[in-house]
Amino acid sequence: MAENTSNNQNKYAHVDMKTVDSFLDKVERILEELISKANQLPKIDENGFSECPFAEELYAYKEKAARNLEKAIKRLRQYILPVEREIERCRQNLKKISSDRQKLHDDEAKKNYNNAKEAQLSEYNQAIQRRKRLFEIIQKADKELEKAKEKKWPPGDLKEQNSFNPESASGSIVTPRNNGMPNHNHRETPVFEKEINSLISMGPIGGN
Amino acid sequence: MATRKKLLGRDEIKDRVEKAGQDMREKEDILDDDAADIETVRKTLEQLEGGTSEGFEKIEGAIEDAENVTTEAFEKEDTELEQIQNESQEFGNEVNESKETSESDLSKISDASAEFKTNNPDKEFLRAKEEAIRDIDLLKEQEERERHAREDSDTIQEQLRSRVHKNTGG
Repeated sequence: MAENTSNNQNKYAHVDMKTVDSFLDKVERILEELISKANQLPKIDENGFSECPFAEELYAYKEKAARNLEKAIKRLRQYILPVEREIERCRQNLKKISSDRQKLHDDEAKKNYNNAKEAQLSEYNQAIQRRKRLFEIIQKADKELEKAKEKKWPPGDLKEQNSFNPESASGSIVTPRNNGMPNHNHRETPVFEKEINSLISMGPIGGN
Repeated sequence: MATRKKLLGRDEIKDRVEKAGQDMREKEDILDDDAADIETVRKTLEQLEGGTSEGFEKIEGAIEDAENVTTEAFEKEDTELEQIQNESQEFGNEVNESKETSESDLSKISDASAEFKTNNPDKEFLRAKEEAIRDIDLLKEQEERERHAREDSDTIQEQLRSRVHKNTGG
């Protein structure tokens, strides 16, 4: 767990809260992306057959979203320590401002301390909300990642999807592979066929 | 009798010296509170842990405002104490002048009494002489009281100033 990670191991130990906030926004977007991709998955049978012509691509896209989220959550866990530290800092400052205010004689100075206390309290509340949000995101992400794992592409290895865009793909005409039959050989590409033909044309190996 | 600029009653002198001393002590107490406030505020500023968030500037700013307020209050009270001390010193000078006048009166009375040979005028002169001596004693005592009070106040004021100007280069 990140809480047990020492400062030396946690390179994010001194990260500023602005960075944490913007990263929380980013992780939320990554999480929403996974949820969206996982919900768009078409039905498939145990062999990976689907009526959807680009089912495999959609599964690959979901896998990629899950990997992105896992990576982001790993980093987010390292933010727990600085977020907790920020809460403690605010708490200590509040304590100091309140106790020192009690010692003052000047009413105007007391008012200034009230302003400082209010500002510190607002920072403290923000820090509490930040921690709450962080844990909620981690919890939700864990749940969604678990759900996403259940929706697996049955044949195993998925093709790498780097530039696949389901939105543009949905607008194109795609013919189901093997006339609607399950595709068991995903490595059979035109290049592969060409290579086989070339070997056949060379004749038997070791012949005189 | 000699001409006095202003005849001050014994009670009036005592009251004014007493009041000046009291005013100085009151101001010193206020200044002590102000100095304590300044020290508290500086300690707060020193001990507050700065964060990476922008909110800390607001917090620090408010405490710095408190430092300005307490410093201004100290400066104001310090000037007022200075004024009380000056007024007290002026009154001390007046007492001193009265004392010198009384001493001169006493000397004149002594000279005059030597010229009279009859008993009656001599008794009158004796009473006047006793009165002049009592005046001188009282004026001496009040002059000293005023000076002590003012010197003590000066010392306290310097101590308070050094507390406030410590580490400020002021």
